[in-house]
Amino acid sequence: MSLEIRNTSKFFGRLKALDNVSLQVESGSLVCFLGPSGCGKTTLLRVISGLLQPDEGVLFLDGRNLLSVPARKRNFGMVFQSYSLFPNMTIAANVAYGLESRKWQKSDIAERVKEILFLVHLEDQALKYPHQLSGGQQQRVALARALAPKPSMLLLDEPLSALDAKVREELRDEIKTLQNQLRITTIMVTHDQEEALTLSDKLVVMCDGKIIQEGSPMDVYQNPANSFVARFIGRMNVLPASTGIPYSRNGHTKGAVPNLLGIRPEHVYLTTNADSESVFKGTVMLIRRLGNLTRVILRLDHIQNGKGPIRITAEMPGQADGLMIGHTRYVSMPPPFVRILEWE
Amino acid sequence: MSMKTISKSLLCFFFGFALIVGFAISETRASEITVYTSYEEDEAAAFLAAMQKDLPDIKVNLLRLSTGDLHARMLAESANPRHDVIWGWAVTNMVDPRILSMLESYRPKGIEKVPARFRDPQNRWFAKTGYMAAFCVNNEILEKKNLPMPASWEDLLKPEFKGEVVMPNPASSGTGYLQIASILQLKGEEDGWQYLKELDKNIAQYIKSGSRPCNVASAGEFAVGASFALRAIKNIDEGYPITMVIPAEGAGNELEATALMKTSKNKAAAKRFIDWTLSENAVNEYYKWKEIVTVSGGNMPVSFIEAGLPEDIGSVMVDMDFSWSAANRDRILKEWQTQLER
Amino acid sequence: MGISISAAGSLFNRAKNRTAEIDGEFLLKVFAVGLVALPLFLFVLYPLIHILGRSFQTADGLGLENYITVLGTRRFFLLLYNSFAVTLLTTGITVFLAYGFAFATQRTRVPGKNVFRLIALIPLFAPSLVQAQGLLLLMGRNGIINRTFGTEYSIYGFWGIVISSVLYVFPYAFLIFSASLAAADNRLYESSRILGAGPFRTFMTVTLPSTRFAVMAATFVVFTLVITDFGNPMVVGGDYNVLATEVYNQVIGQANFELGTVIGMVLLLPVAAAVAIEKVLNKNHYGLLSEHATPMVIEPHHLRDGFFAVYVTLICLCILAVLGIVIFASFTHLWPYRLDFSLRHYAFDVQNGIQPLYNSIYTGLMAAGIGVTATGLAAYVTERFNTFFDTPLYFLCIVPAAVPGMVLGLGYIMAFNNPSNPVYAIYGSLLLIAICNVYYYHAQGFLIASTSMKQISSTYDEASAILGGTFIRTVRKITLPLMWPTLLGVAVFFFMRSMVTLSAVIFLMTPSTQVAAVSVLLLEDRGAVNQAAAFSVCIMAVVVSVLLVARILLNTFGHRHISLIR
Ligand SMILES: Nc1ncnc2c1ncn2[C@@H]1O[C@H](COP(=O)(O)OP(=O)(O)OP(=O)(O)O)[C@@H](O)[C@H]1O
Ligand SMILES: [Mg+2]
Repeated sequence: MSLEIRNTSKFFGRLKALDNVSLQVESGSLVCFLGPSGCGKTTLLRVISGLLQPDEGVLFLDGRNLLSVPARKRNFGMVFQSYSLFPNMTIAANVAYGLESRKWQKSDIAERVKEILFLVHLEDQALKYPHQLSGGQQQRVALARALAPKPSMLLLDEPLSALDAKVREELRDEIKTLQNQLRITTIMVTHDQEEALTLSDKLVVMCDGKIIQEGSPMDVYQNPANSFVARFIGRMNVLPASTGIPYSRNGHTKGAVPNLLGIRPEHVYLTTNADSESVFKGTVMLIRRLGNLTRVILRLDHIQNGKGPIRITAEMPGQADGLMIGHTRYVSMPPPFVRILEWE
Repeated sequence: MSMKTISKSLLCFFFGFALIVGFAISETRASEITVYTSYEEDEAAAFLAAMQKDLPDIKVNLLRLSTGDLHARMLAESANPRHDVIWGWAVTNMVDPRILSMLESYRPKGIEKVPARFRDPQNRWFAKTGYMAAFCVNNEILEKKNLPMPASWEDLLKPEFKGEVVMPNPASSGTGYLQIASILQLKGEEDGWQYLKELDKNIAQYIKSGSRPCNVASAGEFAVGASFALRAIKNIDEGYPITMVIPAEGAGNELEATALMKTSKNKAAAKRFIDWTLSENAVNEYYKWKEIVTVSGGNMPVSFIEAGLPEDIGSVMVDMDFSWSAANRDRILKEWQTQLER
Repeated sequence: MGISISAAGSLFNRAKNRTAEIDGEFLLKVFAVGLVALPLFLFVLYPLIHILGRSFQTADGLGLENYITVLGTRRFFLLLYNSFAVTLLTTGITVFLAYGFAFATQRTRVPGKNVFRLIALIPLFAPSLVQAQGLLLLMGRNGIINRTFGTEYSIYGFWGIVISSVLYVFPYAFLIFSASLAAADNRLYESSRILGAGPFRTFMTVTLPSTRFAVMAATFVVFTLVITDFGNPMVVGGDYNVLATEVYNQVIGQANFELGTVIGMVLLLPVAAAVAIEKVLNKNHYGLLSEHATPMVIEPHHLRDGFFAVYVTLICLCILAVLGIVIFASFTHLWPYRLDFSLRHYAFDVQNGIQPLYNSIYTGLMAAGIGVTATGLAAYVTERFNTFFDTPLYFLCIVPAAVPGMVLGLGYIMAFNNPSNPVYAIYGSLLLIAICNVYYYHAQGFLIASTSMKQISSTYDEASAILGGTFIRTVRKITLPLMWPTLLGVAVFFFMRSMVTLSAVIFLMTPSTQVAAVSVLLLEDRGAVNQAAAFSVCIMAVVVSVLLVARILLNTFGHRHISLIR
């Protein structure tokens, strides 16, 4: 099932929650909406689900206009941020709800409920009530409930945000496995860039109701379209081009002079002595040892922006033994890794 | 499928609603009549119970209101009267031409038992019962405050009764009006009004109903309640420490008449009801409850006599001029309201 | 299916999106909106308009004649003055006393708070004139007090009305203050204490301002109830007449509708103005007096707790004395002369016998059913449909709060006692009385339902919709199962009010549809004190039993937090 969103806008009073959004979702892919709070992710998801009518624009599902189809007939599965499991029904009844609504045979329903609970490893919880389950289990019930009626598309609104880190990681993998198994077209809203990077086939970055960038996670990570995306996804040192850091123009042909440049911390190298590539002298301000990785923040003594000396973050494998705060290091930023973020 | 559910539930809703409405309407039985009366609540209840034994198939919806209130109400409703029968209502009010014009001539079975002077020549109404004014005097209070037993209207002017006398409001209460009318007829208008103004100084409250003055005097709230004889008798019966005093000047009195409405929607049942009011059982019942019964038959109960009612009540009654009372009612009430109403 | 349309054609596009919504579901929603709105028009606005019209109707066409005759009399101004004197004083006293009482139960450590709270609410279970009844038995010229002490104090008149009215409206004000004081923000109090403010200063700077909306709400509620109450003034007023008793006497007694309409309009004005002001000043607070806020931590304070313990005890004693004496009198042989035990007043050998009590129960049950349906549906429609109608409908639902029962009752006679009106079919039936009660108390019932509806996340509805559930299925399978405790509470509310209310009902009473509260008034009015007391006791017994049953039911299913007494 492929979805096409064309020129869609949505207003809440004077607030433009969606601003002329167009997007293509390929059949069987997993798309993540990523963006800061209030940027319109949920709104877009709700427009797709049919819970909200857009003020402008159209939606097509496999070339069929979706707008004339009310939410309950779209046959989508949806998982809400707060789970929204019906508190007055058992787990089994929750999962069966969509099947009953769609007039499945009784015997088929029982079978399907069993099957889907097995899939999410909850077969022995069928007769409990939602409040008797842990957060992670409730989330899996919500997923099972959404998947049970064999929806043509799965919509997930920050499904993991209410869980603690460990459970979140587990469930994230489970969702990916499930999605791979079922080959179901899935759209997932998230706050969490790591989630978005590891899960998605396509990443959609939003800000202020607009889509800023879309592409494969790798592509978006490596080639952020602007400083917003650069800062939002992973860590990136954003530096004024006026500092004179060398960059390569490859891939970018338009424009004359770039304004901002970016480089990922893992591409910033430190040496004890100056050489032809390590031209910037810096003082170590902060060292964070993260086990297999060490993050270092340096102050570049001779490079200023308006507010003072520039700080740069570097990351290196291992423990970086011997490095101490106050040490002087020389920084090298290889031009192939330096990204042009914004043009004048 | 959804439309089916919708229509099903809508059907249920309307069916349920129709059921309620239908039930409400079906309560209106075929032989059901509405009767307006000014009989006291307890006497009306007793009469109705007797009637129900004889005419079990007629359902009577009874509205009891004070005489004056009922008068105003019938005038207000005259365009669309809601009742079939007027039962036990002051003759003084009945002979108001506006009321007379709403009545249908009817000669009930047994009408010949009612002496002609208690009937309308055109058979629009007939009176079979009546009542007379009396004071209820609380013995306990008299004793406690060392007050003399009043024997007449004149006695009530004594300063020691200040704030101890209650009297009905003549605008709403028939008893109230007959008391005032009798005073005006006895003393003449000028002296009468003078007396009422004097009396006003001792009056604690003018009370809407004619029986309540006796009831509050019985309860000991006030020493003297100007009311009517039967209330006093019944309350003495109940065990209240009161004395019935029939004013020495003579007791004002009133006859209670019955009539059929022209607009009755169920005249057959209404006529059967009116016929019953002259039946033997009805008359027996009247004798248990009324000091004045125009139809001969029963005897005055012992309790009446024990309470102090003379067997020949004619000797203590004022010879009321009902047509005068009726003709001057509006004027007198207006005067009373401007001079004395609080 | 569709041709793609670019954003340029946005206007057309919007229209198109609208039409897409028109399926069975949409029609059903429109139908539901109609189902909520039409009865409100028919049973609230239409009668009001009728009164307004009638007040201008004279023998020769439209005119101000009615107003001139009524407003032109000295008596009218006397009544107006009396009404305002009684009402303003009562309102002041009640607000002051009830605030203190609520403060004691919410903000001090007075022992046995729950008992005190319950006692304060007891008057809600009794017909509204029971206070006057009790007051007379206690403090009448031959009441217990005068009899015992040999005094000759008379309660009839101004002070009698004020005292009985204070007792009558006390629980209403108490409920409002109690809810408002329960919803305290503990942090404010802590910071005030840290800043060194003493208890009095804290009260003046934190407590009082945070409850100012409650003060306003209580003032208006009390004002409305008192100025339109005629039960208490009729019983203890003696010759002290007020507007409400005049309306009662003129309309019920003498069918003087013109005067009724004019005074009705005169009563409607201050009340409507008061409610309007309150709603404008206080858009959200009125309904959001939630019972779920946890009480704040209160430190013991001997002086304060001692003072308030005495205070609440005194007030509770007053309430209990007045109600207790009524119960006591109903069981005596002959009040006040023979106080030996007797059940003879429960024989109800009065016209219609015990029937009015059954009528009341039947009416109460109908009102509960209709009320729950009407307000539940109204709450659902305004909270969940997200249509253009939400705001006007919400407003329509709370309009009845501005209509005194007496005016509504008058409106019903005017509008429906007319064979050409379809509602005439049920005129003079208990059903119309039930409907009248429902729409008289519609605002409160609606606010209870919609507050609870707000607390049930709307994502349940959305989840159901996505899962293919229709509107009806969602309501049946999810909303109703989640709402039933609240709805039961609403039903109990309507039943309870229906059992004890007088003000609107009295105008709709016909010979065959007398209800118990009216019986109390009529019996009391003609001086049958013991029997009136017995009727009052029966009403209280029925209300209390229903409350108990509902309470047990709710507790059995684990819904202790649902409050039943409103
Ligand atoms: N029903 C509504 N009425 C009015 N404004 C709304 C409504 N729903 C959302 N908004 C506004 O629209 C904007 C986008 O909201 P949306 O919920 O789509 O954000 P989001 O990206 O999902 O944010 P978050 O990550 O915090 O969930 C916000 O400014 C929000 O306040
Ligand atoms: Mg969101």
